[in-house]
Amino acid sequence: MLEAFVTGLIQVFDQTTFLLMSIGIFLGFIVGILPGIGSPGAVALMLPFIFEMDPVQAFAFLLGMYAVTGTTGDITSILFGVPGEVVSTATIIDGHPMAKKGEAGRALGAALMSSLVGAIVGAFSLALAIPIVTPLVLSFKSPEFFSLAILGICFLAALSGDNKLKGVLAGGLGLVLSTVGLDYQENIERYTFGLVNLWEGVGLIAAAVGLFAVPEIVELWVKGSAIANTKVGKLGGVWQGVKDTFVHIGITVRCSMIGTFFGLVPGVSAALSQWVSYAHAVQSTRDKSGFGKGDVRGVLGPGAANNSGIGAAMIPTVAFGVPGSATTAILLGAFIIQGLQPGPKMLTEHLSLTFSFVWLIVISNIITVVLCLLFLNQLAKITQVRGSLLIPALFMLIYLAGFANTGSYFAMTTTLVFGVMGVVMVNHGWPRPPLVLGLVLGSLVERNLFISYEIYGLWFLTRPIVMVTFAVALVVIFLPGLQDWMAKRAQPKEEPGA
Amino acid sequence: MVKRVLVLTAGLLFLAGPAWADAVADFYKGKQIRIVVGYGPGGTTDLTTRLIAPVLHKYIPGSPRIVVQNKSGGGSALAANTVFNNERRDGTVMAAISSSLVMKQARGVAGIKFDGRKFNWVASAFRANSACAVRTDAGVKSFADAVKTKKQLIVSSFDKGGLSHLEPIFFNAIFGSNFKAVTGFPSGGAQRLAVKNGEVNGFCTTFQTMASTEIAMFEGEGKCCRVLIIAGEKKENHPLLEGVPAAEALAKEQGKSKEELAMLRAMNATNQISIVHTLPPGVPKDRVEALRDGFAKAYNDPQVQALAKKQNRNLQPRRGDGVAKIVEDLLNTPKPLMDKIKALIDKG
Repeated sequence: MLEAFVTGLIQVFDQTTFLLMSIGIFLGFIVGILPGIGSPGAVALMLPFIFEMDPVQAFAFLLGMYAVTGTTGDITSILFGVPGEVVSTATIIDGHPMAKKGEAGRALGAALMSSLVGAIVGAFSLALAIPIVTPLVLSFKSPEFFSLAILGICFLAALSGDNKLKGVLAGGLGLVLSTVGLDYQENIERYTFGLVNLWEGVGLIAAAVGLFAVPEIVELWVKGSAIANTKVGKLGGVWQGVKDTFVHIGITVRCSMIGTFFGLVPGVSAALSQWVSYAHAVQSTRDKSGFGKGDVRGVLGPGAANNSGIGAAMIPTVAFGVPGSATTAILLGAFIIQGLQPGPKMLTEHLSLTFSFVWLIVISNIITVVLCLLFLNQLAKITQVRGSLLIPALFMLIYLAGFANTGSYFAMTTTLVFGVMGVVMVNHGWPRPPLVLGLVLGSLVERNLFISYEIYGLWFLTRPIVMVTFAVALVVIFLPGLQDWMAKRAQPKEEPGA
Repeated sequence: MVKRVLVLTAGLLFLAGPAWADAVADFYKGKQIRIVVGYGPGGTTDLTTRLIAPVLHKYIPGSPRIVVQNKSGGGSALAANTVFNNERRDGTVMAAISSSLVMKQARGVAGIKFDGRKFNWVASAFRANSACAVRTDAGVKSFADAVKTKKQLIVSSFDKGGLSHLEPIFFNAIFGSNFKAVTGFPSGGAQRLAVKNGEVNGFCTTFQTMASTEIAMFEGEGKCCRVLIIAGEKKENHPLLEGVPAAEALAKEQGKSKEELAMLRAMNATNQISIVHTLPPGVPKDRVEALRDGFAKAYNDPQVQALAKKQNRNLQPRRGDGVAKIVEDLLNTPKPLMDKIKALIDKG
């Protein structure tokens, strides 16, 4: 095991491999910074180039790119409120308000450093988890996926801000919207209005970009000023964000582990881990008042989970051929191109190759973070540019995001519709994150509920992991209320002595 | 006089050949052919298209540039509809789609806005046969055993009417087996994972998938499954198929009706033209023929063959005219039989 762990690391430093990884990082940075294209687009564009490479070289090239796009997605989320990918959406909630407060550099520093910590924690957790990965993955069946999705829904409250009712309703709307398209069992068209474009449902990236980015652009337009309202000097700088990562190392490490766990479980959306991490960051903090308004902990959680999940998501992909995300699905294609057979042997005979994949992600992250830190302060200055100069470029980026995802103009319409919805929600104080979470989780809930019931009947509710997950879900629902109640009870006792 | 006419005709025909090629070359020179792939990047349709795309220009007169575009939606129906109805009909745009769409057209599924008879089919990449496999601990030793004991075998499927769903319900209807197809699994990987972790008893897909990407499930240390039955009349000579019945041969042996045999053929028809490339209607005939020739040569290109071998994929291309014949036959399935098939699918 340890030998494979070390051999995997040594393989990365082969001259050609390292060079190809560096090229991948460079290209990934350029392509990844364009929202919407993100890692699936970037990796897919490069597939034809790997036909002639050997496996480690090919994956050095692709994974270098993959790791970088995960990080660059956070950059556009923070600077412009435009998610680079679905997995970067959670970073917006606190990252972009920080940029507005003039703390873009700090938010970027925090996102990058937490990504780095996430990637390293993820790699070491994986190394420790390898002996139990196969039983762990095989113990997750449809009822367990269903219970995880339900747990995700229970985090809606944490994402709802001050108005829980509006949050729950927005989450419900997300769940309803997730039913658009052909249903998974009978192929019946639901809310498609005869449009084939809607057969596969609402495009998640197009919807998220519209929901978050369009209101920002409208606000920028109305304000007529720059993204950043104020200048806060050194405190808003990149190094402050780096320091924040270590000040709140507990949140960063725990969220890294959440990311690793969700990455390991096949078929659970990577986007879910970011939301759960964000919700964990909120719930585990006593003073929640700053969240949603630019609290650095709201950037650290999702940032860490994002990159720790990338390495972990390789495991179900290589060991079981079940990709956990759009990009790992494309990487599975790369496996086939390379003549590699995903299977249990990737965790035994070819373990060093599997570890080399994980190391590639870690090393790429380190290189990216070091390079980015050198010029992030310059990048953050974009937030000082007058809005009227940014708006045309931002409009182009968000429509590119909509289009690039599916190659169809229809996605641009989706972006526009959700953009209008986003503006209405912002103006009336409705939280948007629960809607995205509902959209992400809807298909997981529905699909796995149906399969579980078909195979196990109602007995699926009695499976041990399901019961434990439901118990955690109950804690998630009732704990905040209980804490508030206990705090209120404690207050009057303290007052007389005060 | 007759002799002169014959000589003149022969001369004209001789001249017409090169002129035909020249016309096509003149047209494609400096142009590009855009192949609209109906799925996202990285899937089999995309990978197959990208496998031949780099060499295709060599085999098409005028050496046009080849551009691959992904347009996913509706299991490639979006690409098929778009290329059929909205794209240029001059031979510069074509679609790479799933042949199962033809079955959907035959069943009258809503949202299919093309006519398979009118497409100018260019080529298909693979010829597959569907098969069903179950876990070795499922309690049945063979298909005959499964029929005899009527043991319920839960199999993981994608969607109603898709291949992984059609096979088990057709075998139930014709041979009396007791498969229960549970739909809703999102991908081939998820379908097979459910078998590996014992959530279901088995799965149905093409035998080619079982013998290549999933071979670890059938041999060696990780062996967990055995093939029960394969579609078609003759089966290939493969160790996994020893003692496994071929469905059509079995039906004949058991004296099943012509209608039942036709059902089995309809079920397997689209597998025979797996991953198809097609041009919209109205493309000049000479360009269609040039592209059919070009694709046939590209699939045989040594570089393509070597890469396919490395990827463990057995290319078995079919020219477009052969594809058109299979499509025509499927779409001409008599209405009563198609109604029966639809009823079976609805019943699930």
